[in-house]
Amino acid sequence: MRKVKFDRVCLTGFGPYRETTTFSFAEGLNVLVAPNETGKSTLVAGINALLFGLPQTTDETVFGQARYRNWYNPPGFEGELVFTVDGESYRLRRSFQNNQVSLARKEEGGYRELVAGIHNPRAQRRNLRFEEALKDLLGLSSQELFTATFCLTQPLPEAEELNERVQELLSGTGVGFNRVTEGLAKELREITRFTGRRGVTSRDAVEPRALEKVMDEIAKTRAAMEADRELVDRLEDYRRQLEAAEKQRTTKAKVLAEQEELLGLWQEWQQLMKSYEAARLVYSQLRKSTERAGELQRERERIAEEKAGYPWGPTVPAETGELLQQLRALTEQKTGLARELAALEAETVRPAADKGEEAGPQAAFTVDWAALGPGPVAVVESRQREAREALAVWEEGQELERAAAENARLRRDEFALFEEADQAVLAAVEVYDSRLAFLRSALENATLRREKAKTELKRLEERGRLRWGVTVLGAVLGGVIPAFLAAGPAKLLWILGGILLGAGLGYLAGRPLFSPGVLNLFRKEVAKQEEEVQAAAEALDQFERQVAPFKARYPDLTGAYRQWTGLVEKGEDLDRQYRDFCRRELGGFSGPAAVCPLSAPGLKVNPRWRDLHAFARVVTPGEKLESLGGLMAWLAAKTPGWWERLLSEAAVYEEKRAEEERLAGLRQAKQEYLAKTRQKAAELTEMEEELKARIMPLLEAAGGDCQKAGQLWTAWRELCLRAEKAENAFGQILALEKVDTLEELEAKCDDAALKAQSYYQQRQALVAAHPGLAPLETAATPEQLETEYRKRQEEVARTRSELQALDGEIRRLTMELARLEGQEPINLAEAEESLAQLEAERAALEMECEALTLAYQELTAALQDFQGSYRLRLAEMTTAYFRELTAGQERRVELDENFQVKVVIDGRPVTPAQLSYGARDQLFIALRLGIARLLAADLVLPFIFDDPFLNCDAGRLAKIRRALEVLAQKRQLILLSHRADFAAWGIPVPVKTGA
Amino acid sequence: MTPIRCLHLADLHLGWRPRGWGGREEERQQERDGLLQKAVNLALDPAARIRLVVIAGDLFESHHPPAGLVAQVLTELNRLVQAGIQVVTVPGNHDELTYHDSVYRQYSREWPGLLVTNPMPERVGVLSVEETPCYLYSMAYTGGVTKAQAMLADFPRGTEAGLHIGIFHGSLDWAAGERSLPLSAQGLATAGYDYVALGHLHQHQVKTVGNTVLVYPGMVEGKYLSDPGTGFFTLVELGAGSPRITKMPVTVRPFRRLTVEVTGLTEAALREELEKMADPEVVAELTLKGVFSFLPDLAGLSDWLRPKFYYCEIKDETAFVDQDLLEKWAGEPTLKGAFLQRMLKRMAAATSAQEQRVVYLALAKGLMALRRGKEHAEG
Repeated sequence: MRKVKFDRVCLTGFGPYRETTTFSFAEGLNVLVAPNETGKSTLVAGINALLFGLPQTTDETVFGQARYRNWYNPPGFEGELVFTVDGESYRLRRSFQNNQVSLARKEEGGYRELVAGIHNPRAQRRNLRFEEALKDLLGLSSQELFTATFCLTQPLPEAEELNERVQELLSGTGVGFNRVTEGLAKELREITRFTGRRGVTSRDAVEPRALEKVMDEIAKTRAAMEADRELVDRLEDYRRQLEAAEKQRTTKAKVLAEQEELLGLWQEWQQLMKSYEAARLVYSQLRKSTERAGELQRERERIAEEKAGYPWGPTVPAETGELLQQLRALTEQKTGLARELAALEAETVRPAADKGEEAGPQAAFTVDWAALGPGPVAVVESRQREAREALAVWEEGQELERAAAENARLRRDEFALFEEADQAVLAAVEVYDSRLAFLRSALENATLRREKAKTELKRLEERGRLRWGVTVLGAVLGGVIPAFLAAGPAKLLWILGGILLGAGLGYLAGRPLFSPGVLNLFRKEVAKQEEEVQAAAEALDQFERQVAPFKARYPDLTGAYRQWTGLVEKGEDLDRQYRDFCRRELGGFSGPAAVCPLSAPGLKVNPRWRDLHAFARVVTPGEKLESLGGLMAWLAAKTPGWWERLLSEAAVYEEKRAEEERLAGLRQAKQEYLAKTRQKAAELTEMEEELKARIMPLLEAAGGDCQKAGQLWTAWRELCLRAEKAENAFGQILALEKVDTLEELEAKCDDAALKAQSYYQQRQALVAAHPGLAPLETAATPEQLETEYRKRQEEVARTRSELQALDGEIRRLTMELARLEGQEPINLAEAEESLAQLEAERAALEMECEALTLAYQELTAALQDFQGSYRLRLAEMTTAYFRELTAGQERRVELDENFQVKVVIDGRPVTPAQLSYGARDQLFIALRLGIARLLAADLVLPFIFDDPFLNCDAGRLAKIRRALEVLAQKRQLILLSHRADFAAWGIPVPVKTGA
Repeated sequence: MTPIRCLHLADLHLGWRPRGWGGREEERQQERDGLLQKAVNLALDPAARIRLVVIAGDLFESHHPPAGLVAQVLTELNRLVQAGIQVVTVPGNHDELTYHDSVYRQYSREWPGLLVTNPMPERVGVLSVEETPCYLYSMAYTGGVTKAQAMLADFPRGTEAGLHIGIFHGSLDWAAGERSLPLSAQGLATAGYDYVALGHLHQHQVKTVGNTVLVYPGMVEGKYLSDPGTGFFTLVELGAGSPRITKMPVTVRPFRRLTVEVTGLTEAALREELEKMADPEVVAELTLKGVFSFLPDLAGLSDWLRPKFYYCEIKDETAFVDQDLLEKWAGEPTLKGAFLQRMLKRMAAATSAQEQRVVYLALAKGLMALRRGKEHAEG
């Protein structure tokens, strides 16, 4: 493998290096320590610029001239790199200003130029010779690759970053694989939602994206154009149809007006014709009526003359004929009645002889049945029922009387004490048990409280004695102390004083401890309790004295009281029932029922008692029954046989009484009929006289002969009938023609003639004004005229119908127009322009989709290609470097399909995160070396470390240093750092400023 | 016959508003809508001696323009009428008469001058201009009524002495659809009009068929970059002999089509080049040609250019990125290299320009993703 070594780098006017600055490098690990911002990274950029060119830029933020040109009027803007490849020295010079390059090889003490010219990294026309020469010498011609692979400018990766960093190195652009595909997928997702079906994402998105929105807008625009184009185009069509329909309607309306006018004239003509005919008929009728009325007038005059021969005629009534007939009938009736009267008078004399045979219905009975009314059987039956009920009621009353007496007896004999006791005593007896227990309990409680108060008083009295003990103790102490302390003649005084003082102090000290006030209080309490005990005992004693007689008579006092109260309640109930009985049956009589009077004034006993009493007086008038008891005794004595006999007798009485009444009625009727017949005969005579008086003139004319009078009357009557008939006919004609006289009728006839003539003239004038009507005058028949008229009517109806249809069509068209005009169609010309723009947009988006999909697919496939080609090789090379750096032969580095790194140590797979920091750094360096080997084929290029170990602790740095030392044995390393402690890691880089 | 000077207008498209002009849409609309006032001012200039103004369609962008704009237009046209200048207005396809809410239906009564509404060609009026009778023949396309499925070739013309002028808004000898009103140039020539005032095409065109001169004045004030406008009014002098057409320049928004050769330019150099062309008053279409030696970020470039022009669009007509460069990258033992190998093969196998374009775009997208991923990572 060829080894490349950088010997010297000279930079002029490049970044902070205004003057020519030369950096010299040796084999192994070179270390350049310098403070931050003094140009360490610029050195790396300078090497890059020398090798690959410095783009012409004005943007100071990117790699280019603007960024690295020194602005302090440098002597130049250029650089030189001297390097060795397998022992042969090369010199590369470049003007950064114009990218003029010169590559020379050292031969025989001097450099011979191999390639020269312009090498602009962004030029369309590239300097291929230079680039190829450079690639031959350094193995690669891409600045990006060189920077990414051989310049470590970032901190060493942490565990989770390692795989990403490896992918970045392998991508060729410093980007992880996933980021690349994710970037494309993201871009595609922004354009379309159908990324799933394009194989870019796992599924399609839900929301439409730019492409779908544009397509949707296109579809909507198209649909709107389609719909609105038809709408717009139809609008004018409808307008024209409407216009035509309206014109047609005007024409049709005119035709209809003409037809209707003609029809109207027809109607007018017909009306005149009808009026004329009617007038003519009226005239004809009037003329006939006038002639007939004249004839009748003459007939009336003739009859009047004939009537003059019957002077009596007007004096007799109109009903003379009937009077004559009545007269004849009366005469016949009078004859018949006379015969009948004679017969009746003969019959009425005979029945009076039989009168003595009858003795009346009552003759054979013991009871005055007449007193019981027309139906004595029913009365007896009724009284028998009432007697049964009365006996039952009577027994009920008697029972109540007995029960009340028994109740009174018991209360009087057994419970006299209760009956006589006052209410207070009874109240005490009622609660005897509970009150006795209460009073005893009160006494017991009062006694207990008294004993307790006594005990407490006793305790306090004992403590009161202690106070005196304290006083004595104080006095003793007061005497003893001076006895020991004092001396001399005053000793005794001191003792005495001490005793008094001690006693006083003891007394004063005992007073608050044993207060006499409390003792007095308790004494009062004991007295109070004593009073309460006495009161309780007295109350108990008084109660026992009060109930003592009862207790002596009734050992079970409470039970006896309950019995007595039960009897009292029952007695009250019986009294109430008996009072009810008396009120109901005896009309409120308060004495014994047996003595209740039956006929006392003002006493309203039950009706049954009065009925039975009255009955008893009828059937046994001899009995004196004055009271209810007597009545009930009389009733109780009546046997069923007695009742049967009474009923039989009553039935016989009823039969006899009925026969007697029938015979009396018959006689009465005969007398009445005779009287009536006589009266009728008298009435007939009277009527005959009256009738004769009414037609006397006629009878006189007939000589009193009714027969002749009848003939005369018939002749007169016929004459009258003729006159009446003529009069009626004449009157009917006048009434029919609505006139009062013959003269008026004649005048009316003249008017009718004139009217008919007027109608005729009007019709002639109408025909003259409208010649079209002339044929009507000569029309064959009215039927033909009617047919013709109907035809014209049908024509009018047809025209009207057509007009209505036209109105309907106009309405429809108007509605349709309104509907269309109510819409707001899009502007088609604008929409077409918009559609064209949208289509262009859609095409561009679709192309972009296609391109992104293709890019995604090809990148994915490229990744697979790359894996297939390089994965195992990279793993092998990395393993070799890792073993070398760690001196571990049993370690193997593996890369999976996604270039995820793992280390197999002694057959056990370990992820980078499981490695120590040092081992992980060694692994990363090994990976960088492996990738460098992969990229630079058989060349060993220098590695530049630009402060990548910033955050490493001492232990980690020690391992990195060992790794670099191992590495430096085979490859030139350049370590740039601001940390002075790194200076000891390798050979310091000499920096020389100036030419 | 006294010569008559006529201002021939068409396709003013008043009320048009651009889309996506970076907030300048309304400003641009108002600017464009002022064009009629400029035309009226010209017509009222005594020096111009204009006696007749013909508007051959598409006065408005839409059939239902805003009421304010309509009022403005009526005011301007009334100025002409009050000055004794005859005005003839023919609806076009944008301001089509068909719509029930068409401006010409709504304002037909107060429309100044002669408003054409008949759906088929006929004589629409006789004007006496400079004591010369002018017989006008025209029509207003009306959907559903105008029979224009086939090209219109039958046009009426009277035989009276005087000028016979046809005014139509349609496409000459081009069947672009019924609403574009296809007109037969030969038919118009056969009718024997002295002048045919046309509208619809936005480029200025003068065509002579037989003795008949047919003129499209074109759209004076541009709309899109692809439709930039003529920048002049068309004046016609009618009288004895052939009509004389004069172009009268007018101040309008300048539209420029600029082409930049990107070959050999770095990104910075390209920007420098574009900077030189910048003009904030210009509506520009920047066409990029040549071969990029870097991966262009056109979206970013577009953002950068926006404040430098009144409005601009970039049209990328560049060829593929440098083939040698691509092949060099393809040789790298990296993912980029593997991707480029595949893409170069695809590009070589592409059978159509469209496919090549897609593959190129995919290549650029892929490389951009590789680069952007780095930017994201650095970010």
